Parts: sequence; C-alpha cells; structure tokens
Amino acid sequence: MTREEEAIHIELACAGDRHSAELFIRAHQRSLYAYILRMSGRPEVAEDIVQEAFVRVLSNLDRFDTQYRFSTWLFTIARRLYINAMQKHKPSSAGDATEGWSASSRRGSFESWSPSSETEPEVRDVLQRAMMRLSEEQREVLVLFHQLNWPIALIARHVDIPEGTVKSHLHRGRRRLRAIIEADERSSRVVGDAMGLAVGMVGENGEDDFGGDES
Amino acid sequence: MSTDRGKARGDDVPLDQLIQSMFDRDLPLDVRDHLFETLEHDPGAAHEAARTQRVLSLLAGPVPGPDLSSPILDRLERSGVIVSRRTRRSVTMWRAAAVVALGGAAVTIAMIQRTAPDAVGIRSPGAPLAGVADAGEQVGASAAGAIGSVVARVSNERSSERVSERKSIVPPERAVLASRLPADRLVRTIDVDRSLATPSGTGSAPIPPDWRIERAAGAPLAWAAPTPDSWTPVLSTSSPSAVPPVDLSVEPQLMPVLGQVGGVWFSADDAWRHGILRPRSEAPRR
Repeated sequence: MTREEEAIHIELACAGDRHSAELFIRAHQRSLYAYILRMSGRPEVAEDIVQEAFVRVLSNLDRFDTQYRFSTWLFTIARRLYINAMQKHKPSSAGDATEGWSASSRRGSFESWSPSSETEPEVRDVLQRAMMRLSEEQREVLVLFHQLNWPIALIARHVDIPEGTVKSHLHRGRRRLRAIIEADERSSRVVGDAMGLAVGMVGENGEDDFGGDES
Repeated sequence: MSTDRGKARGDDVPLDQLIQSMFDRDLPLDVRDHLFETLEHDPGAAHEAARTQRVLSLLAGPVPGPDLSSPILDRLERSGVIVSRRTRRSVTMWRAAAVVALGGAAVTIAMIQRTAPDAVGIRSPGAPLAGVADAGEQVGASAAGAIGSVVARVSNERSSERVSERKSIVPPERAVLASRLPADRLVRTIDVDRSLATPSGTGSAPIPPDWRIERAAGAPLAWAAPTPDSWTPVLSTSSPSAVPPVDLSVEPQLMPVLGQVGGVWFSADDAWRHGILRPRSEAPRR
C-alpha cells in the first residue's frame, strides 16, 4: 500500500468504511503478530495485543498524523500494550514464556502461509526457545531487523535508542542466538543419539519377542 | 592511494566486523565483494558466517498465526467505529426511500396546486396578503380619481427619478379578464393592441397582441422588461402621444398586474387569488 493509498484508506476508515479497516488489518496483522509472538513467546498474548492494538488505532484514526506511516503507529501502540502486559504478567521462567508456542502451530493459520522444512514446528520451537533466552532488547532488534526487515534508523526511533546501540544489540544478539541454538542442537543430538540407541534396543527386543515365533 | 583503496575495501577492518556489517546490510558493494573474496580463501571464517546466516534464515521464516481480522472487525463494529455492510446497505436503502417519498410528495403537491390551487393552503402567506389585497381593493375603488392624478404626474417625470417613481406607484384597482382563460389562470387573454407608456417618459412599448389589461384611472397594471430581472413599470395614459415611444431593443416581457399596496408588492398570481383580478363575468359593468 503506497502512502497515497494509505491516506485515502485512512480517510475512508475514519468515516466508518469496513473495507478500508479490513485492508489495514490484513496488511499488518501477520507482521504484528510475529513481532509480539517473538517478543512474548505466548500466542494468546500475541493475539490479544494484536486485536487490542488494531482496535485502538482504528478507533482513533482521526488523531493519526499522516506524516507517519500507519504501521509505525500500530507497532508503537502494540509495543506499549506488550510492555504493559509483560509488567502485569511477568513469566517466572523462559519455560513459562514458551509453553504456548507449540500450540500456536496447530491453530488456524494465515491463508497464504505454507510450511517449509525450515519452519516446521520443531525448528520454530528451537528458535523461539532460543529467542526467549536473549535479553528483551536483543530479541526486539533481532525480530524487527531480521524478521520484519525494518531499517536500523526506524528501529532506533521505535525502541527509542541510538542507532549505534541498535547495532550493538544486533551483533550481540546474533552471536548469542547462534550460540544458544547450536548448543541446543548439540544437546538434542546427544539426546537423539541416546534415544536412537534406546529405540534400537527396543526394536531388537521386539523382533526377538514377536518375530522369532512366526518364523 | 593504495591505502585509501584498502580502506574502502575494508582491508584494515577486522574480518569479523566486516561480517557483522554484512549482516547489518550496510556494507558497500565493493567491500562486500572483497569480503566474499576473502572468505573464499578463509574456510574457517566462511563456515562461521554460514552458520550465523543459517540461524538468521530461521528467524526470517514466516510465523504462522490465526486470522484475526474477523474478531477485530466485530469489535470495531460493536463499538460503532465501522459500519457493517448490512447496516450500510439498509441506511442507503432508507435514504433512497426517503428521497423517493419526498420527491413524490413534492410532485403531488405541485399537481394539486396546479389543478386546484385553493385546495391546499401552502402557497404564499394568505392572511397578510389577503388583508393587503382587500385594502388595495377598497382603496383602489374609492381613490380612482386620486390615482389618475398621481399616475399622470409620475408618467411625466424623468428617468433620473425612476427609483422614486417606482416607490410611488399606486396599486392596480381592478383588472378584468377577457373571455378566454388560460390554463394557469393568469391574465393573458386579450384582444386589443394597446400601447403602454413608461413612467420614466422614455417611451412606450406595444403590448403584445395576446395581452390586454384593462384598468381604470391609469393605475399601473403591468411591468415591462427586456429581461425578467429588470422590470420597469409600464403605464397607460389617457394621452399616449404625450409620452415618447420606447425603443426597446428586445421584445418587452409583460408581467401582468404586479402592484404595491401598503408597501407590499404582489404578483398577478397573488392578485388573482385574492380577488384583485376577477373574471369578466364578475367585473363591475362600466
């Protein structure tokens, strides 16, 4: 949606046009949901905040300053809602924060989303668990930069920190995320090897118990 | 020179920093090419960069989530921020129905007024005008002689006094319809070609052959104008030759029996409805 189209649809939505409001929701709900979900690790929190942010923004479009983009305003409101929500319900551990993550993949999904091998639920679980072990600042700049492709200057304005600090968070966040995921993979491999060994032993026993009689 | 080139290509920047800058998407193209060349000769660093890239590609993947448009739109609709399609459609239909009803009512009223103007009392205010008309009738009947003198005086004044002349015009005393009545019942039936004189004395204009206005004592019975916006009193005099003829460039329009009684102007239509104009059968015989 170009800036001109956005201005037109803002006027229409201001006048109560359902179609224009729906256009804004469909254009931004996916990225906003991804942002809040990556930040909170809880699908139900992400859903609530996305809904509330859209309702607040679309209910106050008459106050919207057209020198900004709609998405900037929407993400700012959503971020404030997220901060408030996290202050009220601080997760006691990273496990608490990620417990709802796997459930999200079994719910109704965006129409155009098609799972790829890289985004299968297990991989997303690993990634989300690792994200939740980053600091809040590192997590936020990584999501905004690498997932939503925001420029560093815009991230700096959104988070209200200098651009240099954004880069610093990015560098540290990338390193730490990689380290956590690789450590996770290593431990999974060890567990997997152990599991494979156990399964192999069960299989051998099974053959002995049941297959041998038939032959 | 070679040092500058080296700086531009990032020769003096640590490799790790160059890789971070590449992931920050702020590496110039030539420096990036140089970095790739360097990585080709440094498998260890290339492997490190590839592992970071792999993690970041996981992060860039799509995030599945529910379609929240319906619950959001429902909430907005409940709070009255947006209007549902059904409501919008019904509002449009109600508006259209109201417009049709108003239009129908207006047409009906117009038709009733045309066919039976006395059946509805929604034309110009009746009571004041009726009073004015009655007064005009009485005054006109009793002061016919005085009217004649006033009109004669007025008709001899000059064009510079036109404004004051208009104010001094006396009301018509009575107009008598000829034998035919047109559909709109205005005074249009006429069989005599008579010239009327302008009070300004600039001349006289012939009344079109289908107009005739009878009057007593020289009261102004019609206004002539080259355009509907510039009505000028046309007066009849007992001696038309005393007034020079009007040389109008266009055919004057005549608005029959527009008069002023007690400072209130009225049209022929009003005069007809309030009895200033009467059918010939009701007119007093002379």
